[in-house]
Amino acid sequence: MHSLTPAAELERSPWRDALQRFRRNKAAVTSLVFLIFVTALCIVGPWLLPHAYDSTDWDALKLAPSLAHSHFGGTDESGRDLLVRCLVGGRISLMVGILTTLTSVALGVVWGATAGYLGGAIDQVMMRIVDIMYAVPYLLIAILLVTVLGRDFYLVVLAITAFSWMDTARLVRGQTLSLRKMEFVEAARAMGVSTPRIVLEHIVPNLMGLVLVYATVTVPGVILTESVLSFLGLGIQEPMTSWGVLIHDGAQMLDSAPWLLILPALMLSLTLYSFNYLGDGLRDALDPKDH
Amino acid sequence: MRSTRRTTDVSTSRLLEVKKLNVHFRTPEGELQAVRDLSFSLQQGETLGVVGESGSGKSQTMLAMMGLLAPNARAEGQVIFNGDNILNLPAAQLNRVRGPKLAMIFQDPMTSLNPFLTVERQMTEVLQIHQNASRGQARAASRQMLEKLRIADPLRCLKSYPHQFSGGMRQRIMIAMALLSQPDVLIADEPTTALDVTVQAQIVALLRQLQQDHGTSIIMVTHDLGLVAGLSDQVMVMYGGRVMEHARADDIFYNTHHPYTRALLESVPRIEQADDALLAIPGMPPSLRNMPAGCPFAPRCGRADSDCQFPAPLSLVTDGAADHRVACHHTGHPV
Amino acid sequence: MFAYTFRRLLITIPTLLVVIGVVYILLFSAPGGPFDSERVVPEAIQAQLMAKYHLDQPYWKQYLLYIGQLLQGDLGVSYRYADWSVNELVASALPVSLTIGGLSIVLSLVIGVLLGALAALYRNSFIDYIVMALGSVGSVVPSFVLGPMLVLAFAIGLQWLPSGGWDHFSWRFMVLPVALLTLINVSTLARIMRASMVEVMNSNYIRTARAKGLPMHLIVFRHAMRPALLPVVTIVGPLAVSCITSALVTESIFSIPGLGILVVNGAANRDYTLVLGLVVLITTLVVLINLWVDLMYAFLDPRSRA
Repeated sequence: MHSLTPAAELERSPWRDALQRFRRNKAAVTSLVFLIFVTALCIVGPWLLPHAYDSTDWDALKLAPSLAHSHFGGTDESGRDLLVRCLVGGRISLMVGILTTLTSVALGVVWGATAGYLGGAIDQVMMRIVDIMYAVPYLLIAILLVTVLGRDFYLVVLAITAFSWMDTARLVRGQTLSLRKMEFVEAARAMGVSTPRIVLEHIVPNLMGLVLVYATVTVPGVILTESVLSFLGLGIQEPMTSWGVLIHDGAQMLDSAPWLLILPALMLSLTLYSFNYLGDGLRDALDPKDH
Repeated sequence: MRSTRRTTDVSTSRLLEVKKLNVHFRTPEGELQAVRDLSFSLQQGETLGVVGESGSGKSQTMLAMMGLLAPNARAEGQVIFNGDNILNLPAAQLNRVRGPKLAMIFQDPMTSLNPFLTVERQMTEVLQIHQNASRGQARAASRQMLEKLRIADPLRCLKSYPHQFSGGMRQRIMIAMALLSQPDVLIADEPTTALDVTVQAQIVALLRQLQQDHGTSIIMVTHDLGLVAGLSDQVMVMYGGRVMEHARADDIFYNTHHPYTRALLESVPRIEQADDALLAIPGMPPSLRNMPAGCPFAPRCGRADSDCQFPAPLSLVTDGAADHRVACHHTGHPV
Repeated sequence: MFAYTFRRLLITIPTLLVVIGVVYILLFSAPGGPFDSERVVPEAIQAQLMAKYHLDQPYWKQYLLYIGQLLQGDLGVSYRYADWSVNELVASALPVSLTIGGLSIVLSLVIGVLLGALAALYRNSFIDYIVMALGSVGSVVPSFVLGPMLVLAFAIGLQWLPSGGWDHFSWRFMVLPVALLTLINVSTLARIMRASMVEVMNSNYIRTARAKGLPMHLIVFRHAMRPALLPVVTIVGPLAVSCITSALVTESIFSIPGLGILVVNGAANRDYTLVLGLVVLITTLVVLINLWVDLMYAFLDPRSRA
């Protein structure tokens, strides 16, 4: 089990140990480096490249990737530069990923901590709701929400959030239950510290490590969900683009321009892969006995 | 069973003979040795008690004999059973001996029975495979055996699953299962360690009774010297993978030669002892990675000196029974 | 066994009712929903919806009437196409999805269990490496990437198979979609089976079986299979569910006229009642599958029946 300490002692060794263990995991470190690289590329790249992501060029339709011309990644059927579109799409995919993860983890932490701390009937009801959420096929409900609410960027984030918070909630509830019994919490309560303060100052900091791991593991799932929705034409809308949208477009042009599928697919797959390795690495670093 | 490995040893009255058994393990840190140069022999109807602390190599010895070592382990030497060397035999041939003639029961009855099969299934298959018995015959024999082991309502027991029984009951079932094909030798690897003391006594009494009834030889592996006292004919004391002392039971107890054996005997608390202090042997048994070069017991031995840097060969004592062996430089007289 | 089943049903039914209720309310009272005053709905459809869904009644009555309707097997009518009932649309689409999904689950189980068991019994051999590699690929590469890749390789490159479409259950159109689903499922199943089998073969009761001198085939099939299959059984539920969600993607890639495409098109057309009916149907299927898996587990493991 994760070694739990009162909030004040957290600045000492547990974090340093974890950092050391993490650094030794080559796959995780490589993944982290790759992710930073990809993120930087997606943010900065479109400013450095000569083409805009939506500018059509009727003289350069369906060009194959090559270093000979200015379209390094090739172009699509409207002459739009693929590389720029992949990077811009990456911005959107990553933004959706991070934003959705933040909201769903926040929701999960609050839900789980409340259920775990208050206990009793409230806990039972809250966790029953979690169980019911698990029983529902999330993609369908996400599609339902998109049908009803529309395909605005923030609505997509909301729709995906609705189904990504449960793992975090369960985990946080479990940890809160065991933390609640710890002495320093008893002490705080005896001193008359109010419940919200206890939750915020004592329980939440102890969860940080675990939450960080779970957040990292949630991101690829969320990006994947967005990609699937976009692939089905139910996610990000034109004129915005994402990796899912690009893959959808690329799949239509397989026989004439396969690079339109391959480049975004490669970027998506490598990113997902890296997030998974990173998550594993973090989990090992913070909880080595678990493996 | 025809085999080209028939030994030329004349004394075939010896049921089981182990010669210079060595067990090595391949690990990332290199090759470790768990059992070194172990030899003993067992007659029909005899009981051998093998005593040692955890890590002494006693269990590995038994597993090597039964061909149950881990994949990264390697055994050398000879295990001659009824005239044939069965060490490292391929499974197909070994299965003719292992089970019907040479049976083994294990330390943890809670996990040694298959939780997904009924007791009947696990018992009858032994006879069905090895004796070609029919389902009905096997069931009848199983029921009889369970009765012999004083299990109440054997029919109900047969239809039940292992998790419905207590540890003591499960061990009885295991013993019944092992004895079904009336093996010549029963190896019991710490059969009572996981059980209550009262159940322990019952199991030991049961084994003794069964031995008398069937003439089965028993090898009893344990860390408890007291346990072997009433049951064994010969006793072998192991430490650090080697045999420290090997003799008839009486000689071990009343004519102890090895300092380790002596220490073991003294550490058994006696009710009539006046002082409150429990005599423990100071120190810890050596790990396989840090085995001392000479005698493995030297670091903890009160009589150790510079001679003990070299391993002591197992040799006959000069002032005792004809088959009393000790591995100690300071031997020749009782400790 | 019967008592256990009964208990599980008691929990399942309320779950289902709650989910349907929430979905229903969501759809019909959400802003931008079908009954927003700004929405313009053709007369014929408005009348039909009024009648079918009792929209003049208070919400709770609507819900109960809707459940009553569902229990009679009536999934409602399409919002966009006045002549079509959801039941009719489902009737033509369901067999297609079931065939592809069913085929791939069966194939995945057989191949996955076989490969996993072989990999466990012959660890670190060639077959083991293949299984591990398959596991990595199938679990990381998304289905909507793998699918087009398969099309690229087999339909466009080698030209062995059509790149999509459907022709009255003709086998040629089924190969690639089934292959895609199977590939993804096998990667998970084989890995789980391998890990489970390794753990079982190292257990104490298998050691006892070997000590009894039992032949290897008996040890594997009678003693090891059932415990090793438990984690696989546990995963069948989620696997079937993921087949349903994968159907959405697969049917889109290969233009298969199944339930998946119905959902996707329904959503794209904002056909609210169709999507509602489909979501209810699929959720019910999912819940029933999970229930069935729980019962299977209890049947296989005598210890859990207590």
